[in-house]
Amino acid sequence: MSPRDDDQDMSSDRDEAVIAGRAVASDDAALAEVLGSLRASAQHQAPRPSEALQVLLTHGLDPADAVPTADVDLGTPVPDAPAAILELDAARSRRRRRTTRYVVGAGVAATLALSGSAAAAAVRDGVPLSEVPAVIGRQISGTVGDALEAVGMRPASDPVSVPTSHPSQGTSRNESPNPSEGEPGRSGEEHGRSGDAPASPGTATAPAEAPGRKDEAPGRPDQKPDPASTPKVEQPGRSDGAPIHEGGEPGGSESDTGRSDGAAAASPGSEAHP
Amino acid sequence: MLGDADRVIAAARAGSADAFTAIYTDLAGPVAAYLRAKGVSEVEDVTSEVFLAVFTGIARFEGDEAALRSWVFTIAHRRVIDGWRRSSRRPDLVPYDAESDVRISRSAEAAALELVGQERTLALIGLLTDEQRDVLVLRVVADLTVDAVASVLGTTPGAVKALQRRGLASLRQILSRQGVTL
Repeated sequence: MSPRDDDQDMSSDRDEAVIAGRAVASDDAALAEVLGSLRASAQHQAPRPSEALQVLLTHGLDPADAVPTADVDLGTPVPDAPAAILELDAARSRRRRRTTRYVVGAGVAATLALSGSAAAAAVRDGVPLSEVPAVIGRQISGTVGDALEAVGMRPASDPVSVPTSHPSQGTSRNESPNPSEGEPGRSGEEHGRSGDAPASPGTATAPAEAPGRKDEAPGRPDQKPDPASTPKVEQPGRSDGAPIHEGGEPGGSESDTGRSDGAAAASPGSEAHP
Repeated sequence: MLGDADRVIAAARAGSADAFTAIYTDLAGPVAAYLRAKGVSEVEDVTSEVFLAVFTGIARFEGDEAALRSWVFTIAHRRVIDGWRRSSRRPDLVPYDAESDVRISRSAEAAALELVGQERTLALIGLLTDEQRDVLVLRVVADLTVDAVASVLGTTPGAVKALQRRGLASLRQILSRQGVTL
């Protein structure tokens, strides 16, 4: 069966001939004439380009916006980019910069919010932070301390005194490979400012707290060899830091409560370790 | 037709003014004819808009001359549709002309046949449906294949063939009824 057997294919061939302007049957002469006129309309002179298009036709497009190819003859060099194109380019880069700023800003805000809420929860709850691994506790306290310092809400050393001293005690105690090291500290806790005594080993290992304890740091290495004397030797250091601590008095009272709880919680522990 | 089409297209992708001019010289006439046949009033402006879009986007274009032709007419077709959408939201106010009022004047077909030359051709093409006119104009004016027209209009080659057949049949009918030539 050939395509010629099909009437539709025959008419299709006829239509294609008319469309292409080839020799047509006599009864299609009028139609061919109409289509020929239509085809001729496409041969008219190109319309006058607009000003913006004329710029492109004269100067070309900025190569920065085009895809360079190795074997392309660029023809006439491009002296300067058209103003419209430059404006478009500037708008693009502005949009890119704005987007980057939004992304970075959102990331920083999310980090601050997360750290802040974690630290606030730790301060509010007091004790449960002792269950948090030491590294995370130090990270949170360091981040919140920096953030608060940046905002100007508290002195640089304040975050150390209120939210982190107690957790660092707990974590340092938990981390301590030798239970006997913790014993003097625990006994010290039971005598009042319990948190301060064991804080020295905890803070010594905590890098996040180091900036806040710069003034106290030189004294510590000397005190380390005698753990029993550590609370007593630290007292002057603490009294030096007292105004700072008093500045955060409400927080201090909270921490005191927390510490007393912590002491209460610690005392059975100390009983468990005779 | 572009001389060394591949070379011209590559140069145009690199932003060459000469290549832009070659493409514009080759395709601006057919694009303007297509726009005119579609009833666009501001043919020069819309033609310029089409080629601005072509030249600013040609860096991303890949293909040969036939593909370029098809792409240019796709842009032109979309510009026409956009223009219709805009005008439908904000209709042009035309003063009343009794001569053009089909309720009191001759039929549109008779009026089309009384015109001469180019205007008569456009009037006759204007008697077809939009789809039939699109297909015939793109095939004749833009010199696109059935597949390319299908690509421009976003339809199938079979649908294009059917529209072409019905459009030509309508024109034959109109012309045979009147029995006049250009």
